[in-house]
Amino acid sequence: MKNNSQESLAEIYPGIKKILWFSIIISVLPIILVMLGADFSSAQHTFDYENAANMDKVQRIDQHFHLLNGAFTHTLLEWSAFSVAIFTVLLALANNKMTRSNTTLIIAFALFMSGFMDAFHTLAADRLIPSTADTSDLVPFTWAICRIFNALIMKFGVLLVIITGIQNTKNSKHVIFTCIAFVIISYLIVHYCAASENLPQTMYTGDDKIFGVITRPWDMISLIFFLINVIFVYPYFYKKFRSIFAASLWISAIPDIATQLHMTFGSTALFDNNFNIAHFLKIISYLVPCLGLLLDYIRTYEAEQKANKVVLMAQLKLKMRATELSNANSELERFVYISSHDLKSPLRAIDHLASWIEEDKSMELSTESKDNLSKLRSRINRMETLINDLLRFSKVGKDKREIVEVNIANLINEIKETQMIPEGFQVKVVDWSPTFTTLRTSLYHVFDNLISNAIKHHHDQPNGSVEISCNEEDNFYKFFVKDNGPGFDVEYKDKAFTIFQTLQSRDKTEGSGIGLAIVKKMVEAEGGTIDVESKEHEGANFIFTWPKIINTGGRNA
Amino acid sequence: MPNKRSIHFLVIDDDDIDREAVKRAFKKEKISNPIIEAENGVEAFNFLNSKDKDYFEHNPVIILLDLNMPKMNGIEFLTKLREDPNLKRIIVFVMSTSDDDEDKLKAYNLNIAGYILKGRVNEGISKSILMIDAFWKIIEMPPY
Repeated sequence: MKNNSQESLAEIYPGIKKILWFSIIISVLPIILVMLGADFSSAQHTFDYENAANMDKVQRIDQHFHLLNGAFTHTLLEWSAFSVAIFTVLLALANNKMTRSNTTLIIAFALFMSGFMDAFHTLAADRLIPSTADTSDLVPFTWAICRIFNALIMKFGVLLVIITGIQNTKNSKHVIFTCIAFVIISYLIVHYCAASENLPQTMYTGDDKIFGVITRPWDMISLIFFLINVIFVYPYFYKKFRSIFAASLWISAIPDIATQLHMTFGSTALFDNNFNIAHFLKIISYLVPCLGLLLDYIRTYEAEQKANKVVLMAQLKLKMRATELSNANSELERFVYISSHDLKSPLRAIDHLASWIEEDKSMELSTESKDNLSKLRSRINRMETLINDLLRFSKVGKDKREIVEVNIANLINEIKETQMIPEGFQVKVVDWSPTFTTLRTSLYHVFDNLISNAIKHHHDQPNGSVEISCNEEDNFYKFFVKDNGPGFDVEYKDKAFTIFQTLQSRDKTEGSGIGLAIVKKMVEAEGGTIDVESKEHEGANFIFTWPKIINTGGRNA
Repeated sequence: MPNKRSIHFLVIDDDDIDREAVKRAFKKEKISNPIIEAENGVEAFNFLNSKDKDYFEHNPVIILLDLNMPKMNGIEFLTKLREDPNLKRIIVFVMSTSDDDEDKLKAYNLNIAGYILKGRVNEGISKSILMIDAFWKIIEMPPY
């Protein structure tokens, strides 16, 4: 219900403006019409007792109906107001379901309670609630009580919302209990009034008018209460909640006050002109918040539709991006396929040709040409390595994801057996190493690449060493692969993990530099991280984390 | 050892340099068996179908087959070969650059004698040729 942004306020403005004008026009229209000569009072009939005996049954019943003319109009007007109150609370319940905000619900219930009080007042006026008091005292008095109750319960509702801050309580039980309590209280008040023998005087006419103008002093009280509402309570509520409903509640005070003015300064008898106008305007005062709610409801619905559309568009866009991405991926896969087959064949052919020239013309070739031919073949060799590495890199994460128990010490030993480890070069596991179930192939390749990288970059190989150690963390094992080689400046460490980057010129080291890129891709595919600590001439320490539990579902690669 | 019949080699490869490489390797290892060349499966079939029973009786054929070829590729050639009642027993070695498991499976399912990976550059094919030479000298050829 909160609409804090200026934009949404501007959006609701036209609707609320219409309600404002509607309220103002309706509120002043009756008095203008009266000035123009209109009469809204219920026709006053008297029972023709003298001729009653001569009348037939139909005529006599007609006489009764004519006599109750004012009471009927009063009942219809009151009951319309009550119906609007019922409708309002139903709308508020629907709104509450949608927005989960109790603010509207509480205010609507307060309105509903005052509608209930009106209903009891009507029932008592029609003698449907047993009463002993005179109608001409009971009706205006209970009316005044109703209006005071109305003005007070709205204050109570607003204060309840503001003070307790129960805007988003999950169960509205206490709201229901409060309502039931108020229904009982309002019934008891009406019942007490109806049963009361002598109610205070409510209407003053002619010279009895208080200060010469006030015909119904009891309605003066509720007039003051309504003025307090319109000046202090409703604006405060509106500022706090800034909704169409809050605005419409504020606006509803216009017909409320008009109602009270008609009563306080106008009505001198039951069912007279001002009496009926006041009752009519009361319906309007109930109707305005109801319209506000309706408007709010429509706007919420529209906003939701709009949001749905946005979500739908976003989903569509996402789908398109996913298709594009998968297209790009399959393009890449095709490229890799072409590289592996179609690029390799001509390369082999070139190599054959070069070697044949060497074989056939070895006598005739100058030393320089022979040297060039040898260089040519070494470049061909490197190009094939590049193609093979590209193929290997693209295949990372595409192996079968077989999860088996892995003993890291055994794994390292196995790698040592397959690697060409120079004599005197030490590869060992220091301290402790774990045994756990994981993706053996991937982890094997990670260690294999890191160890071969360490050996490859070692100048002083007889004294070289690689030490593998492990720390256990919450969800990961942290592995260290530390060598005592030349190391490198950490400034270049990002490059170390990039595909086809080596930190040394190609003559010094063989390989395309794909090893570390593959390691990074494999580690990150399982949600791990890799980093390296190094100083020039002080060795390198590769640190990577490997999850204790492999996610067998989705693949990140 | 009974009198060995003269084995003919049928090299099916679209790349003339690869065919030349085979020929050179034969020469280098001093193997004098005749080599017949075909650029693709269609050409190979043309050759095989042009020969009568008598030819095959005296000159059993061993095929050296490349897989990636235009017109009729190696697998298609093998499939058709194995369906032909006269030719289905011919011994075939696949020589391919493809390291793909799927290719290997397909080829072996079609009863090849062996799958030889055309190795890295700088590695000749002499080893393979020597193996094939030893193979036919020891193995009894299917009777025609």
